[in-house]
Amino acid sequence: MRLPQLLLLALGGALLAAEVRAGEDIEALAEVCRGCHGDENALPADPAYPIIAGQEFYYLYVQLKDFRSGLRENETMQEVVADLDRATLKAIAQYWSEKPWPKTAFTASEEEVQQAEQAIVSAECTACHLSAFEGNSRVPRLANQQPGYLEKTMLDLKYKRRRNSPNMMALFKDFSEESIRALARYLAAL
Amino acid sequence: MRTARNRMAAAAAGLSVVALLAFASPAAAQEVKKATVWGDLGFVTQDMLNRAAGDGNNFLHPQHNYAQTRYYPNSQINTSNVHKLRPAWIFQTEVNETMEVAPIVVNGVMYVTTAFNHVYALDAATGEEIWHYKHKMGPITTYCCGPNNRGVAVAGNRVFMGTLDAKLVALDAKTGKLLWETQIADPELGYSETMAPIVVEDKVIIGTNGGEYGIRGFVKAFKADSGELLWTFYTIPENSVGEWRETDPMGRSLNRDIQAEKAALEKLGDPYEHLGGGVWQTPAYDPETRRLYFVVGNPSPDLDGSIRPGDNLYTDSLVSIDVDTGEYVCHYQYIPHDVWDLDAVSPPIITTVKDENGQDVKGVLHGGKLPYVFVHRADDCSLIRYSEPMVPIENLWALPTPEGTRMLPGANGGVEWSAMAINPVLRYVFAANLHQPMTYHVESTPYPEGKLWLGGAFKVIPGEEQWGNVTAIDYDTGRIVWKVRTEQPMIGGLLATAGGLVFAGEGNGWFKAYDAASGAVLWQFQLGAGVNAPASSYAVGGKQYIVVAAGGNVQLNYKRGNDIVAFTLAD
Repeated sequence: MRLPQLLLLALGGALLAAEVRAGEDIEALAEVCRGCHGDENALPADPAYPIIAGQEFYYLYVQLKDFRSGLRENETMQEVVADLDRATLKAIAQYWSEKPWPKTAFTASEEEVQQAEQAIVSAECTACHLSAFEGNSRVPRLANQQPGYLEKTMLDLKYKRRRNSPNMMALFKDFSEESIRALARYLAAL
Repeated sequence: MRTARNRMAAAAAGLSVVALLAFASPAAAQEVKKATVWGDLGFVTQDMLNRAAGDGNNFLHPQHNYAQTRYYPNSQINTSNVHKLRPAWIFQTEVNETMEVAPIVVNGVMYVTTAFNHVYALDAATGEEIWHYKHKMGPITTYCCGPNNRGVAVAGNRVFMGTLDAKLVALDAKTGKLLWETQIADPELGYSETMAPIVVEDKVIIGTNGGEYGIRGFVKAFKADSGELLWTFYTIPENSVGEWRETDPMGRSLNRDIQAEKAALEKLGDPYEHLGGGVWQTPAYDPETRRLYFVVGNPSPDLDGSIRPGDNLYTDSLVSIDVDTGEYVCHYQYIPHDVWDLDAVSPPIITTVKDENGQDVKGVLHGGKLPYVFVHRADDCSLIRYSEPMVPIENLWALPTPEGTRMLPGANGGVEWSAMAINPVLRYVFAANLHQPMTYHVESTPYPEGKLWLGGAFKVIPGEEQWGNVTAIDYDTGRIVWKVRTEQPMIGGLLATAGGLVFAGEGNGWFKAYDAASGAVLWQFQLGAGVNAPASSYAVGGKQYIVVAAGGNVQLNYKRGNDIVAFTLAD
């Protein structure tokens, strides 16, 4: 992680530690998130970080809970949420779910689209993620998500580095890296 | 004294009054609808619900009547004139997403639901909206197979719907206002509703989704006037192990490793708490015996049997319970210890069938994902016969592997949740089928606290041919009488009518009328989105209509839409 983010994190960590049990002043907490994840007007700081503005509330909440319990492993996120209580996690998730999704301009090649469409038929993705990949409730929106994050996540699921969704792990197990890459570009460009 | 002019004026006035009356009578009839033999306008009596099988004006149950025959007793539209069928009206709902609803019609008022739990009341003659209810959905919804809804139940002056966030709501039939709502179970644990409930007297009865999430399945009865819980029947008994049956209904080995299962049972205990067993579709009801008949879905996790030893009762079964107490009466398990998600979903049908000796008995029909129509005795649930298979079977009961095993039928196999229909004159049952080859992958994971839990994955095999059928089976012999292939796998449901017709829709937008006796396609219409819901029929002002939803389907990814379309004969 780059230095500005580290600093922000340290600051934010301190801020969060102080505000922890109150669950108040969500704006201050959100500043910490913004540092890495951007917001409705700015993309995340790194291609591998997910957009969270406009993401489904319940999905965000479950991810934050899973980071806190270690079920989903990520050093940074674990530090961020370590001392936050349930109410605060809910409030953060609620806050971000109410923001509009930022404008994106990702593209995918014809070949990538074709490969992705085959994969989608095979895995029946739209059954849960719905026809426009907009997600709902416990199922995340994938449409216009950062391709770098999507690719990393699908690979993490495939290689069992991300363990908090057993079903997705099983699904990606025998997806080729190539089709994962194509899928990531396709979804980002929707 | 009356002058000639006055006399003429009086006569003219008299004439015009007569004329006025003559023209006014339709309007007057609209304003003052008298109580019919079947009951007051809008109010659905228990008598009406009991007699629905003979009701060729209304469509009071999602499968037309308590026996769920989907046989509409009106022959105004028939094999000789169906070629003149044309759209009467189109209603476009606000929700452009899968539609699986069976429209309900009560004395010219139609009730339909959409994905995400909207309810509309429409004028069934004109398609105009009367009221629109939008359920206030909670933040947690859980569904494996689409945010759809299969329709409402009507009784008295109320309309009932189950929701994706596991609630049961009761609405005022006239206004759509919410009367009460009750939480059926915890959506965070994977419970939710997509089925149409059923009302019997003072009880609203509903099952649950969630067999993909490690729930403990049930059928519950709630008081229709308040939502108070009356009884719960768990589809998973505390002793779920059963008899260690090793074969399917045809006697073929299921490749179970009973030793390993018994060892697992020693170690893990009875797996009933998270064993699954949802009830996906509306139960059939027999008012004579006061018994409900329904089919139970797959065990959790779908593909991994290693952590759920035993027969996994009563998953993949036909079950009958008493409507007053919710107590068990009998069952027949199609697939003990299922690891292929070939669960029992299509709503059962109660009708007279011939037993092994050719004698008429009260029977129950069910079309399975295991692609046979099963014919049971209603009194003890025992199996009389099964039909010829409706779609190909290959490598049957080959166990799922980590790398994936190809087996037919695929997990969306056979009849899936599509409602069947019968023609009790011909004694045929009609089913919509799927042929969708898949590989079954197993991967054992522990219970994930309400997240999707398949114990592996199903993969559709891209590039391999998929198709569907409309199949007619003689249920007294099990023979396939006719079978018509369709371009794509079918899902939705069928309607049969006394006009000798069978109506079926396809994912490519075609809505067709078949000749029930021969399977000839007599009429078709392109609806522009997947027709993946079962059709209903009704009559208003003496004119018969066929109505169907075209909104596509999530499981098979058919083109989404938002239409309800009613058809009638051209003049």
